[in-house]
Amino acid sequence: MDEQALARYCSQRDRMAEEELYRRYAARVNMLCRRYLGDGDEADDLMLETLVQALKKIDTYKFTGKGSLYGWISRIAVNKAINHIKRRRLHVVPLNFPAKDDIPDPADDAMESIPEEKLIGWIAELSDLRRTVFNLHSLDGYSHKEIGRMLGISERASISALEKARKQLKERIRQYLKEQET
Amino acid sequence: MKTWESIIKDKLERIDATLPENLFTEFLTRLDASGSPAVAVPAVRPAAWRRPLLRALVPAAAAGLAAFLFLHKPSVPGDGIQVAQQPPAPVAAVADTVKSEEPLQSDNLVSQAITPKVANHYPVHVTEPETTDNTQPSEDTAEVIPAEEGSISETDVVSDPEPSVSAPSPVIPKSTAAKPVELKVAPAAGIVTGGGLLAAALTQFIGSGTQAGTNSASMVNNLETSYSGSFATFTDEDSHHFPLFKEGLSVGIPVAPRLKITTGLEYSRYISTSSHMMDSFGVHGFQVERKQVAQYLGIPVRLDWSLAKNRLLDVYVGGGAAADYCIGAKIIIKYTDPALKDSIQELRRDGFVFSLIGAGGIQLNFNKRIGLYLEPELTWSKPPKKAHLDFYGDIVIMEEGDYRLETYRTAHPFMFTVATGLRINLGKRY
Repeated sequence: MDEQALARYCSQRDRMAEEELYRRYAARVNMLCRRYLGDGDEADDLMLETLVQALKKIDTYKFTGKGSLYGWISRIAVNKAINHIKRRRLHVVPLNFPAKDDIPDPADDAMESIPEEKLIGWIAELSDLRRTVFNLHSLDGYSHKEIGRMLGISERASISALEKARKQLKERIRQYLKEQET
Repeated sequence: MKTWESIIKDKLERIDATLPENLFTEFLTRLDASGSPAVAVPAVRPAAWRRPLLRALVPAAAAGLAAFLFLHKPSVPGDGIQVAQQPPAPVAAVADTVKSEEPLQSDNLVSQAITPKVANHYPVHVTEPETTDNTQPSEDTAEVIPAEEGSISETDVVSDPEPSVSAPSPVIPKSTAAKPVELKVAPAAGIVTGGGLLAAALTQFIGSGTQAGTNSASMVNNLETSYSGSFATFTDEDSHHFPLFKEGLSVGIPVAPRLKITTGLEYSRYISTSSHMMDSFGVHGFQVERKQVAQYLGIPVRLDWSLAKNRLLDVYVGGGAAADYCIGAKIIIKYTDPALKDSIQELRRDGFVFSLIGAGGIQLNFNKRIGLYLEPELTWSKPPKKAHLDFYGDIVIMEEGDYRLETYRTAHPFMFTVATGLRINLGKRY
């Protein structure tokens, strides 16, 4: 069943179609929520909220091409995640290691050898602000200007937070790869 | 060539994670709950008829207060002269002719001056049989009164062992003693009643339109709320802070003929808006509109100098300071994309905000005690510390004392505003 048909059946409150939507997208949306929130239980809850709202508003979805349904659902999830994060205070999290000025980018084959759960865990270690900016910019393609508007920070603060998030992640990756070699 | 970040993205999206079965069960439960009208929780918003009623409360309270003070007669006359009421009953009868006592002979003028004299009595017409034996003035003779027709009775004698030298004037002169400034019962009751009604009306405005809780069972069609903790910045080019109008209940305490202290309660409401486009995933863009509403209750204290005044108008200038406290702040976010819910978020309130005031004013007096004032004001408040980046580039959330809501006041430390409201004049009216 293509996305357009799936959305049409869901708008008719077809239970089979709704269950199909869950089976298709729940895991991806859950991963997206874990990326943003860092916590598994909160991510599960946010995923369920996102899918329920998407089904309630499925009448407003407009098919614009392959993958647009997931894009539409993802946008709902991202906005919900940001609202959820904003409810917390954006504390300053002191780094446990010195941030190096110049860390080379890891190689592609090295990156492929890293387990996904490790990546999820390192992203979760980032502070709320750095994690949110990293997800929005590096993984979800938002510009710094858009990120600034969404989070209520300046563009410069978004750029700075992203730089620090990258350095922190690269340091983690470098340490892991070094341990693997030994 | 892929970046390491894009590799992360691909790896995470390829995860074929199997979600626990209980999540699917929970999903179906929430789906059923969201579609059931019995579970839906209505938004906690005041009924439509309450808002106009509440907005009418403040002017109604003011009108009631004005009527009360206008109609209430003060227990002590403030100023002016008073004509003494003449006793309705006539005094004791006296003979047609009364001999005056011979003045005591004295050798010197001083003793003559201090010698009490007996006034000549004017003849009084008597209707009852007169007693001719009594030719001497009695000690019970009443003091002199203007001759007038009417029955005279012995029982109405007003004894005065020392008749006054001259006819007493019916006019009681104005007291020259300055009355102390003191709070009378009527103005005090008016202040308490009016202040209480104003505070009650204000709390209704603060509590409207919000709903606690964010779980899915509490979602309603158009509103989703989150609890306090958020803060908002207005960095968009199309943001706008609206100028301010204040409303208040004020008291004026005169301390000199042209000088008075004014204080009271002032309510101010700062509104800021912004709008920007959002676009992502290559899908059609949508507009995000934000509206921030911040409410403050303040106590100004000012010394005013009257430039000119009459019974109806008072024109004055003054200076002082004010302390404002944030009693409510929220941001309303609306999306043009129907897939996204509008939301109302409570914002972190800032604490006390102190400012200096310079004002001119016109007061229209309804009576001696109450009036309506209109005051253009220039205020200055210390600009807040700007959020700064720490060494690692994160935004540092400021401590409570540093945090300030972004409003017209933070954007314009020197701020022009107009204050209006009701003023109660206490104490002596110069």
